[in-house]
Amino acid sequence: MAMTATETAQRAEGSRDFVGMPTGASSPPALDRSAVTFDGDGAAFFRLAIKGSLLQLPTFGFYRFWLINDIRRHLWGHTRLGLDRLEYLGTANELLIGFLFALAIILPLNVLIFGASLGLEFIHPALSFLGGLGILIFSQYALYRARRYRLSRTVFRGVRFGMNGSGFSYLVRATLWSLLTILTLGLAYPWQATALERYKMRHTFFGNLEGRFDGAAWILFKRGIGLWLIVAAVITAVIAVPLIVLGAEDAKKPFGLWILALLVLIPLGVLTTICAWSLLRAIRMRWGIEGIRFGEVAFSSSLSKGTYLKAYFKLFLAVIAFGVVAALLFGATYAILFKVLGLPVEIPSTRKFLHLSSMQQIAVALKVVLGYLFFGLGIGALKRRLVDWQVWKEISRTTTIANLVVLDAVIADAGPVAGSLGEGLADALDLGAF
Amino acid sequence: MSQQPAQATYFDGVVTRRRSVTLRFDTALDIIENDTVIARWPYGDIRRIDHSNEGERYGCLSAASTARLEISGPEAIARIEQACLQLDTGASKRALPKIIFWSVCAAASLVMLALFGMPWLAERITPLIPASVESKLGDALDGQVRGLFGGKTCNSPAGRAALDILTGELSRQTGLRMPLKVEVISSPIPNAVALPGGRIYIFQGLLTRADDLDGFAGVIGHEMGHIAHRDGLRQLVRAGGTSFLLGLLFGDVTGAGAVIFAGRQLLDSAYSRDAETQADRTAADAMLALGRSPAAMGKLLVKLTGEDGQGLPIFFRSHPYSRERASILASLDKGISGKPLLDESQWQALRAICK
Repeated sequence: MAMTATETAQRAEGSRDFVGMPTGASSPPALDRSAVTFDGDGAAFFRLAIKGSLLQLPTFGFYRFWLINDIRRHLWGHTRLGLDRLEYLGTANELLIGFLFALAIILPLNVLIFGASLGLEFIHPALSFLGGLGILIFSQYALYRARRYRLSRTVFRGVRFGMNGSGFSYLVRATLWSLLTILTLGLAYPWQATALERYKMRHTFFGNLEGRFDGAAWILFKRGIGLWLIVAAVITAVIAVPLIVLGAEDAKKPFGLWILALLVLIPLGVLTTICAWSLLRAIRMRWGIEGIRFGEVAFSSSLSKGTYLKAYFKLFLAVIAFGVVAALLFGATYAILFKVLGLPVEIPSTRKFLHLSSMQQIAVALKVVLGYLFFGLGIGALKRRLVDWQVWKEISRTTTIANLVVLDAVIADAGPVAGSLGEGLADALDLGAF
Repeated sequence: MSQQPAQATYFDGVVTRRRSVTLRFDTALDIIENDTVIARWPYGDIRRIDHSNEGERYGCLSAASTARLEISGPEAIARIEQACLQLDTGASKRALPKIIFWSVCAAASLVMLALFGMPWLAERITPLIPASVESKLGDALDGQVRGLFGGKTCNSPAGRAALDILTGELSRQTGLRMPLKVEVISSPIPNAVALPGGRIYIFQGLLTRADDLDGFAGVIGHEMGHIAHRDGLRQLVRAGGTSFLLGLLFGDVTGAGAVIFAGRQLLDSAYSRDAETQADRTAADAMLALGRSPAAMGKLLVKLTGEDGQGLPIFFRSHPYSRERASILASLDKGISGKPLLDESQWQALRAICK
């Protein structure tokens, strides 16, 4: 080729897009476009998620490693880049071991934090907040290492992906950029995202082919600024309107008006922010995909803005439906059970609870714990199917790859394969995603 | 069996190039490209990696770990199945029973640790915690206790004064070094609670049911004993650690759940038998030093646990235990040799503290 994809893209920037192809640092006049396809079955996946949730009960949660592994095999294995499928080589045992290693690191840390925050909390509430902050920062390290693990277990056409670079270096960058983003109320985020993606992709490789990120910060800024302004306006209104109403001269019935304003404005504000955040998430994802490069191979995306929003909304409806049905079933089962055992069905207050016998207290406590677990696991399964799986499918459907043919000449990298400590840390710190 | 050479797609695991090959079923599986044998896979080493709409994908243990053979023709697949007897060995056989077994073992060991390890650990750690931290903890728990039991503190001036006199005398005898905060809460529960950091809450129910001042004083002395021995703090450490361990089981490694539950746990778990005995001892010693009878406290205990049977929460839970305690206290009795701790009007004022 006379020009690299990057040079072409730089020329094409600002020009009208091809039909169906996005603008920005991507899509050269492609000689070769390949589709990403996903042929996984939603119902089969949902069964997988349910089985995984249920099995977490007798295994005290340990089954989650097998579940996550199954999920990844399903997602990777049903995704094709062009003609060839991705393959996931990770095992549940690796995840379990990674978790155990991570535990060895995190447990002492947590005891320290717990002890320190107990002693310090009453002197200075902010200091116990530092513990949580520390975990937040450290989680960037975990995420980096987890990504490394996942990439190293991904195989395409018989060759592995890989990642080098330093988790700590990434942690430092992520922390400093996050500070800037917070200080600028989010406006600096496009530059944060660009810097971090560049670092990650620079250290990502497919065989001997190095990765790269060509996304431009100001494009993300352009795409997202509208929503940012809307959210800013809403938040300002939520804060300002009550203040204005309060300070109104005719103080006849400001109280009632104020309450009403709050009851309307705050839910509205929260809803708007959630919707805006969902839209921004999709915008960010699309922009992130469009910037991915491996040599001449370029990704482009037409991911719709509403992808996450639709998924969350469906999840919301499903959770309500599930909640209602489950509450009825659960409540009915326990009412019958308690009647049979002679236990009081209604426990009106904690005082009454303390007056029950130990056996009765245990029975009630068990009901609460099991109910909590049941709802939690059920919602977990729903989220996996309706959000995680759905979004993966949507991303596959809307992503195309240019110059995939270049990949014919990639040579496998003979380096050592990453360990699963990062995965373990991410799991121990409860950092979701697949 | 068809004699047509089987077609397949081959990835050698070294380069990404997709290669069209034919297969020859010789003593091993010969993979042939352009009439050259580019690889030989022993039948015993061939494993099935995956299957999809397009066909089957195989790997080989003795080949590169990511080398793949993709076969879509049903005849070819059938021949592979016939020739390779170990296609699915070592495939992640789920072995669910094994997973459940080991999970239960892990859970059991965590529970054992909680039941036996935590008390021992609490015993070691508690002396190391400074009094200032303990009183801060007590402050935090204070809110929870108040919320849990509801009710307001009773503060009639005469009752308050009487209470201060009584607690003053008792605390002198128990040799408590930390400042005490004793309050009466207007709740019908016949009980008393000692929190880390020197707070004692007496519930009005105890006052109304205690006919004998000495019995009531004994209970207060008992609570002071708990404070002097830092039983509440020890319990908190143990409960916190236990919650933490159990939280591990369910994936809550950060201990957030432990913080939430620790306070509740304190109130909901009985002190160890040893701690109760020690506290009884402290109370008895204090009463004896004041020339009063420890037996009255024992009688009060039996009366309270006899009344409600199973209904009593927490500290008076095991009534056979109460009888044992009562008989021990009675055996320590040396008769009355001192004056009453409060005169009649003070005692009545105290009993009416919530009016």
